[in-house]
Amino acid sequence: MSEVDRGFGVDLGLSRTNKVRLVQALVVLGVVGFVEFAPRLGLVSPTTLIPLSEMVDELAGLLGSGDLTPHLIQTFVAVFGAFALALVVGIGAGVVLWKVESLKQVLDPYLLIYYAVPFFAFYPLLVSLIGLGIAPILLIAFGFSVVIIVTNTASGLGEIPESYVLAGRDMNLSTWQMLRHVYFPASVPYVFTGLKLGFVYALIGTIASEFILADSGLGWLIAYNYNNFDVRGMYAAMLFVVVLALVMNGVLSYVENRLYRRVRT
Amino acid sequence: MLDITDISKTYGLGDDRVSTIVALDDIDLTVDRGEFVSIIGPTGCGKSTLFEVIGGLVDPTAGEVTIEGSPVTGPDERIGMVFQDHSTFPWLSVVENVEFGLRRSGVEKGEARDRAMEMIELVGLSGFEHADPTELSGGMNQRVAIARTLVMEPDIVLMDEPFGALDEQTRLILGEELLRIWRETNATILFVTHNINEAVQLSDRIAVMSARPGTFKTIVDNDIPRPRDDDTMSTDAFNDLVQRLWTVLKDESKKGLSQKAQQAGAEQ
Repeated sequence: MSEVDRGFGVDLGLSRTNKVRLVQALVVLGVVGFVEFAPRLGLVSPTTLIPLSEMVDELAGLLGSGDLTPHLIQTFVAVFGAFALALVVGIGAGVVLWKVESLKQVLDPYLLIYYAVPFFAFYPLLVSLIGLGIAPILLIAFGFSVVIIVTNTASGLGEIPESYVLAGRDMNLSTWQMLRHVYFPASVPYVFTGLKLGFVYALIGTIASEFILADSGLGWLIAYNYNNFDVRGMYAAMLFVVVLALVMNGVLSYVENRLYRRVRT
Repeated sequence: MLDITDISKTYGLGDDRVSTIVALDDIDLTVDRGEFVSIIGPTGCGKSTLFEVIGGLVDPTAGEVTIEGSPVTGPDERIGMVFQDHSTFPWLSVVENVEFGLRRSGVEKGEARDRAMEMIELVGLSGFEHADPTELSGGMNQRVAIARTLVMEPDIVLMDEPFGALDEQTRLILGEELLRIWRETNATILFVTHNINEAVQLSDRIAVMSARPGTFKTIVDNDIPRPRDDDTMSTDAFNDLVQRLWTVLKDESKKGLSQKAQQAGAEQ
């Protein structure tokens, strides 16, 4: 079978997958190159964008001097606290929704419009209820993160083909063996899709809340530097947030693969 | 060896469960050791329900399934089932799929691996032991499913349209392969299908189910000599039997279709 190549008309002797990878790599290189050279060549004003190497330099300086540490602690506690809570509650609630069909039917419309609710509009309410500080931030990040984990877990478990379950029952598996050897591995890809999104949502919830609700943290630092025309400091903090998101995505992908393969005996 | 006696299955309908639907009505069948029996029937006749009842996955409303006289009351290690599709586990390799049931029932790792490897060779998948099911075609996945079931050495193998999702060529080739595997393992097979040619190609006896409520209209002996190959399928004996079965099945299929239409009308 020959695949129709809607490529660029150049034959580099590469397979289709490798061509895709090549283009993807070129896109990354292009973005990095633009961020590095556009300000240097005067294409963009240096007050709008600074070269990537300067962001890295500034970030390294901030990390080395320890100036960033209190902000990191604040943000990490909020992000990872909210994510950990969302992971436990989200997977638990997802399993319950999957098991209790009537509850799922009742909640489905609410879950669907959940992310249409402008969450950050609630912040004055949260401030008056819980006060300032890390608690309302953690709560907003949790609320922002948990539902995507719930819906992915519930729908993922629901997507497991019935024939897996029938095959397991035919092989006389106990309830525990069914959970451990059929439901768990079969749901891993779905649950992790939810977890990856859930982490990014927790991060967004935290940073955005810190813009307005905090007196420290990476989000606060970005806003503070922005207001004080410290472009270098602003981009350094932004770079850290982006890297954190990418690293966590990689970590979750790694754990997912390990879990999916660990079931191999 | 396998005795199916007066099996009936009634389902409650709607929330109140007051109205009922009779899926199976008084099914009787005996399958002898080493026999290959097929069940054919129109869509919606309850073939799959019967399959699940015999396999112990669903309780009958009345009647009994016994193997060598002792009843089947739930999922039973004496019964192995092969499903239509999507039943090999994509997170396990081919050999891990095949040894899965053995490992879960406590067979020691080395022995399970040896038996799985043997069975993989028998179903013609040598060289693919460590492949992922997602890399394999539908036909090869069904070979994995068959190996996974046979390796447990069940007294009887139930197959529910195992080649139903495959294209015609693959279906023919796998049919011949199944006959070879059946000969080499002396398995007892009860095979559910809607494909008359397939039933005639494979079986010693063919039971024709009626439209709902499902019951056996007739059970036909298939005397066409074995081994049966491509040439067999063009003989008069083969075509006569196909024709005979189709005559019975045709009326039932029409009934089944009009039931479906009525049901669709009632739901509107």
